[in-house]
Amino acid sequence: MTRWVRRLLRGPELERQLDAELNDHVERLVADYMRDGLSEADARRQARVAVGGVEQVKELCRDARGTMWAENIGRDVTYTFRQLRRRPAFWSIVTLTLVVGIATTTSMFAIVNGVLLRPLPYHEPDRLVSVTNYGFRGVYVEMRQRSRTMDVGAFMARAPVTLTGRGEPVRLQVVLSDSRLFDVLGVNAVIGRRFVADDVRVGGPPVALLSFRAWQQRFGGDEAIVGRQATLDGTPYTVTGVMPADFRFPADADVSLPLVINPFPVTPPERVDLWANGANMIGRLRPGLTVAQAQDEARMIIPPLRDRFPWRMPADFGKNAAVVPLVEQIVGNARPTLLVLFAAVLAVMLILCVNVANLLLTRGLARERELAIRAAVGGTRARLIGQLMLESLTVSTLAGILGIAVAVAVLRVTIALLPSDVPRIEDISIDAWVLAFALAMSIVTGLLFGIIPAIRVTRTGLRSPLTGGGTAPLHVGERRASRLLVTVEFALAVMLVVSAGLLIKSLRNLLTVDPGYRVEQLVTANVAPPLQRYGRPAAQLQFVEDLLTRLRTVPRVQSVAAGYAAPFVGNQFGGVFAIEGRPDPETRTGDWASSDVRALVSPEYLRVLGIRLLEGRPFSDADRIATERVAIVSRSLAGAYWGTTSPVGARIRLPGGPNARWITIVGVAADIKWNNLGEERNWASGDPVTGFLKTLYLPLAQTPFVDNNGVRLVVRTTGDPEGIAASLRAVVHELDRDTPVSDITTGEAAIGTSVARPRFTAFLLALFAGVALFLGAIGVYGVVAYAVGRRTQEFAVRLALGASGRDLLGGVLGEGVRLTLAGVALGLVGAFLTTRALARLLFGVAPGDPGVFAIVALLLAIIGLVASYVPARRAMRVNPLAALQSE
Amino acid sequence: MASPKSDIPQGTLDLLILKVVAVGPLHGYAIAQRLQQISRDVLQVQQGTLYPALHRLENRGLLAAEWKLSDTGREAKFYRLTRKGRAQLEHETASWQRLTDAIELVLRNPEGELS
Repeated sequence: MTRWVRRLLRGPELERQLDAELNDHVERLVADYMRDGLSEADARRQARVAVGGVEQVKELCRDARGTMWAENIGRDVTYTFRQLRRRPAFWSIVTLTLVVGIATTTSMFAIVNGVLLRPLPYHEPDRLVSVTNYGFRGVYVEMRQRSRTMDVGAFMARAPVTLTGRGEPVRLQVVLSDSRLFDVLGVNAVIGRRFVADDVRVGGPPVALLSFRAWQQRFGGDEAIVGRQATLDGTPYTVTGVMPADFRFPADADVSLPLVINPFPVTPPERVDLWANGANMIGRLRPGLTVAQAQDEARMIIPPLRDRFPWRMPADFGKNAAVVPLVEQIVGNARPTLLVLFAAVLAVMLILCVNVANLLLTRGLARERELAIRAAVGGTRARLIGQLMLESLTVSTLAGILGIAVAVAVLRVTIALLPSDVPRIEDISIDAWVLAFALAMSIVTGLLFGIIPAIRVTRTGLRSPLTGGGTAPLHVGERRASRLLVTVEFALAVMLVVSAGLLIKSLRNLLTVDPGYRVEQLVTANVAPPLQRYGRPAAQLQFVEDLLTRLRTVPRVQSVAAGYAAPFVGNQFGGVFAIEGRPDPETRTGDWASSDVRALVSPEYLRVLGIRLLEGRPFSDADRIATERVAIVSRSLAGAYWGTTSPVGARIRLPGGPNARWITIVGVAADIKWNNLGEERNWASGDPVTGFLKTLYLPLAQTPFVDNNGVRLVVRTTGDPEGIAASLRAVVHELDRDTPVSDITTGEAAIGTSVARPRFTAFLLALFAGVALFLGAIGVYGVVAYAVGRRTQEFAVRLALGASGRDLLGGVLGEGVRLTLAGVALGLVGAFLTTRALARLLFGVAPGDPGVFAIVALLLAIIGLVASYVPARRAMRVNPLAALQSE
Repeated sequence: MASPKSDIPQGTLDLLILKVVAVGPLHGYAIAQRLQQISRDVLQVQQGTLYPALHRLENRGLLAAEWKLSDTGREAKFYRLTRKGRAQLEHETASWQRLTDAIELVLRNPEGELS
């Protein structure tokens, strides 16, 4: 080994010695010949003949030295750089192409890595699960106590609070956490302590736990914060601690308050709290147990709890309890989108490789003389392949390094474009995995685009004699390779374009859905009157009515209404009700009827939004607390409980015991979309699919209620809604200086946000498809152009012999068309097999939509034809005389 | 030189080189000459075979090389047998002898002929 290294290091000296040794041999031979009587010139000639190729002998001796391959790499690298420098334009284009490809692929992988692959920032995150579908506090209490498969904790997002006493009042996102949650997640506070059992007991002192971000931004990173007070909604809370920077209380909150549950309720409100309010359960599987076992157990524990509810629950209660890995619950719905985009970007990268391979193949033929020379002076085939591979690997590695730099920028732009509902965006970064991916990617790329040309070119290169001119005869082998590559490339392009087409059609379907209300010239805003002054329902109602009166006089406000719900801005909730004359759920003889949305609204609400009234009367100012209680139901709700008969005149009752007042249904409203143009129905309702959420409208004035989230203003403007925000704020602050106005948005913007993800997916995929199409067209163009170039002389002869330009055009064009059609056919089959993966992303279009397939096939066939025709035309223009003379 | 020439069987060249060099340090050309002379011109060693073989033996530590002033006034590379080379030579000579004896035995045994 040490001798080997010494030999390697002494390389140049050994070369010199080898030279001298062989030279000595030749000189002695010459001397011998001269002694035999030959002249010196004859002796030398004779010696040369006897010795044979000195270079070949040297090469064999170097091989014998055993350090050959290592020296070769050194030499080949030098040679490679000389090669690259000799063709700067060509290699720049190749490198640039690869840089773009690697940068795009790397940033897409960074997103996939950050969102889908990176482990959650908790202790042994693989064992964390979420228990879904029956997240009631009472269910949590039972699961916490009785589960033997997992330790269970819980949290619950709630309305934000206003932090005061620390500069400007700010809204903080709040989550309620049980102390068990932190045990389950296995996370400790970085300063102070997390919640303990004493913090979450009934009647415990008011305490708060801060997120790292809130601590930094709102409390100035005060090290001595623990034990100090934070005033939230006017109440002082003692800060117990600060959580780590990457901890997000699953629900991405600024501050956590204790989740206080009384497991032994005495009063009716306490019972309602236990069995009506929610708790998101998170479990840690005990060692060695599986998700399936935990789910089986949950389905044993939960169904019998049906009898513990103060009211009647559906017969299948608890049977659909699901236990899923926590990471699945957090990122599950983003996975199809991201994987589809990642697959698309990989396909583009593959096409890029094919294109570059083709380029090298074509160019490699121009190098066959060089390769033949190298073969003649002792280069083995393996050596030449190695040399060519080294060239592609050098280029791809270089492109990889540049690509990573570019990826940093691309990633920043892509993250900015990402729809905000993609989870874990803040976890996306270029970490060691992403770097490793980029590096592996560039090496694989180099091998992919380098190997076929290297094998092909050396095969022909070694065979071809040095006698040929600039245009050697066409080799069947490399042309077949080239055509195959282009066919595959075109097929991949077809698959991408089909996918993009499907997503675009789906997006168009989505955008043409009628949301059921007038979106134009609509502005909504959230107004949250401070609870200290407006915490009682009567005071809150007074505030809202005063505000509406003032707003009606504002210029450009055509009409205005308020409600505790508005379409496409989130925050609606549903509820249950009993129907007069049917078995009473409160006495546990009947089932509750339910609405997916319970909208408490001011009288003009339906008119301002432009929701059509199908039957009955609208609400009026005369519907007050003292008059008969009234309701309007959506058509889907009417259909669910009254079928085809009219519900107008029927009476319903909200939960609240036998003293609750009956509410008369006075009208039926047309359905609207509440959150999503593609929305279907509430998962739990079990109703037939109507495409709409069942909605119950109740007058604000008759329904005492305060929502901590604040009330929604719905404003119809005259003309452009832009610029109305300032007037809204001014009027609200005129009424109450401390009332924050937030989330001011137009109807179009709200709907735009709801389609951000499909739009993003369609946009990116269309972009990728466009690039793929472009590269595919270039591939076809290249093959045809190359064929024309190589056959110029043949064409010249044929023209000279009387063939028409048209004949030649037909022949060349035929080749391009065959390629295109093969690519399209292959691509359609591929698309048919793969677009099924898109099914979850599509709205109103099947993955095998014949229209999309047909249009794409036609479009790509035309593009392939054009890409073949342009270079093929040159075959017609061959000047026989000039071409033949150049021979 | 009308006598028929033989190519040297693969592997035996090494043995022959070791044997020739055992006499004393020699340079490549002399080794080639000596092989040719001793075999009475039957064995022809090409440069392309000889030198790689010499380098291989040197790398295996069976030969050691030294640059010395030679009769031509130029420096030449002289190969000599190392201790390891001598052991190898003895070993190979013995096994070669056994092999040729065995072959001869077979070829000369009249009972082996078909009668």
